[in-house]
Amino acid sequence: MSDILELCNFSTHRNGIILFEPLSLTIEAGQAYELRGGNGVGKTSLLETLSGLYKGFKGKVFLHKPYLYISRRAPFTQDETLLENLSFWASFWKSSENLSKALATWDLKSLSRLPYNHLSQGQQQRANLARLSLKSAPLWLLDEPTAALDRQSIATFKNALTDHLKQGGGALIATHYSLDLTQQITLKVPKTESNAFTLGSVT
Amino acid sequence: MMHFQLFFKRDIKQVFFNPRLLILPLGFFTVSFFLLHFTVSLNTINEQETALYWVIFILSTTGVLGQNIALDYDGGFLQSLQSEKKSLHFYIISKALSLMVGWTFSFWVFFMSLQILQNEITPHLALQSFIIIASLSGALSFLYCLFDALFLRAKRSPLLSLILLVPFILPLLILSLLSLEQKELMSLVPVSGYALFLSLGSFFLTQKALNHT
Repeated sequence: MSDILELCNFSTHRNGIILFEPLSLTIEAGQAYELRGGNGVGKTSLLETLSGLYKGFKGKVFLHKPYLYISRRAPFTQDETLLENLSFWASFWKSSENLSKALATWDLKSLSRLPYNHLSQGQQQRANLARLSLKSAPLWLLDEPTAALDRQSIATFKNALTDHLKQGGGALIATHYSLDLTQQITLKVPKTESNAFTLGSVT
Repeated sequence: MMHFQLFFKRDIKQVFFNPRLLILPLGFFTVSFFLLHFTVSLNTINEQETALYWVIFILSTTGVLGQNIALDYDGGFLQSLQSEKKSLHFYIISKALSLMVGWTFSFWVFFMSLQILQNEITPHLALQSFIIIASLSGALSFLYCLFDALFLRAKRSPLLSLILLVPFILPLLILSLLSLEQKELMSLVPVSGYALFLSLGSFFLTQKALNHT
């Protein structure tokens, strides 16, 4: 099996404060990890760092490219239709031939002519996840992919993930919803003096 | 280059067809007319004064450019591009070019009108330029919504389409006022234009708020 992602004593810091205890992790082809942890522990920061949006980290990272980062905010134009938005990304990734399959997989065909801002939160999240079917990337970095999804859509997501893993892909998924994956890792806040906040004092 | 074409197509669509962005060129026109009417005499425009209009134009374009990029940042579009490890140069160039095209087109007509006025040709031409551009942009936006509704079956708000008719109809109303005395007419234009700008702005802001609740 080949490694897709390898983290060695990896931690993210903001304003000089380390967000979570150093983490070592290897994701091989066909493996997906659930990234757990309380609010504010640094799950999104970790994913943003891996996707190159944030530079503040310590440790070593080996990242197989290309990867696909799906954040909680879908990069869609509010006034344009769902089809226009997905077409943009399909063209961007030169995968226009996958567009109709993506719409069918994520049950978006009937919604494709609606402006994006007319969709419900769950439908918007499905549209965001439909980008997974447009880009061929060995590594998926996903931030709360099941947020606002109904049972049927969660099942669709799980199927897409299973297919991806069968094809030799890997995934790191920050989630509060249990996806029943065998691999899980929980981020922990470090209890060191350097991490303590000083609120100041009143005399 | 392919990415540039994609960005440019997206941006130009935003500039010309996004109803909210339509407010800005219209607002720019009315404010410019307002300035023109109350600060300079129509027949004594010198080089310094025309430079003032260019400064206004460049500042406005820069402002809209910033606003556009901020919108893309808030929407997560910019972050997605960054995570793709693609250079943002094409994105910025496309954004700047599309806005320049949109604004230059509008401003150039206005500027040419000033030149015409300088040569002591009827001041009505400046107003007519404004009317033509307002009519065209209004008609284009309206047709775009109509085309969407009829052929693409996009369910855009009917209220929005109705509002888009306003800049289309208003110039026709202004045309009917052309029979008025020139001075009376010129004092009507900035006032009514500015009122239209404010009412459209508040309508669209309300519409935006409704869409997000």
